[in-house]
Amino acid sequence: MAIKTFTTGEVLTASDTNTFLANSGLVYVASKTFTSTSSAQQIDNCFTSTYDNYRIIFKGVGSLTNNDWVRARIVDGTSPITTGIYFHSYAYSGTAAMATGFLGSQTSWLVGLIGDTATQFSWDLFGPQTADKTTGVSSYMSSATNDYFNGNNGHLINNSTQYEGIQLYPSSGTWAGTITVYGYRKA
Amino acid sequence: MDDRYKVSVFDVATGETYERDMTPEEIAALPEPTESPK
Repeated sequence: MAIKTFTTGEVLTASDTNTFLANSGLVYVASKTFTSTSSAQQIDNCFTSTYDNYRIIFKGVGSLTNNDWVRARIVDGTSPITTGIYFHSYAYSGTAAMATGFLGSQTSWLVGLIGDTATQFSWDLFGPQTADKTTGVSSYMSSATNDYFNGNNGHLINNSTQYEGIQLYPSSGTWAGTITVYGYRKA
Repeated sequence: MDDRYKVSVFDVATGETYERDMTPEEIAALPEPTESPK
């Protein structure tokens, strides 16, 4: 909904500009850029009461000539949860026939793929800091020397714990790129 | 040294970036190869 309707010739003030910037729909929270490594990447305290829902973007590249999964864990305190709280479904296709499935009570989520040509995913995470179920949907594309896939995964933590951070890591090989976290403006 | 067992952390609240070793629980929960899409 428009906060103000401007008329022809009206001066755009600093105050109005700042209001519109603050009220943008998707607001930058944090990013982390890293060079080639097999280490997990973790962003702490990116989930706060300021936003309920978040978008996490990854763009980068891996070392694998055949794609493998990028995984994620939710962070409570300074360490990720490693118990079997993660439920996910997956559906992807490309150079191999379409594959679908569901995995419950896992120790991490599958959020995207990574290969040695180009990789990206967009992941909407709903309510990680609110006192209700955390859910998500990721959309990804990844190209490697020997295969190419795109797909969508769904995510659920079936409890109401409030979490404040996220950890991402490749299933195998190395990776490099940038992870960016945005918050969806609430009102 | 294999950095697969390392975690690079950025704390938004403090602006601090640091590296830590994975906890034994994190290492024990590393992925099973059977879930690869290949």
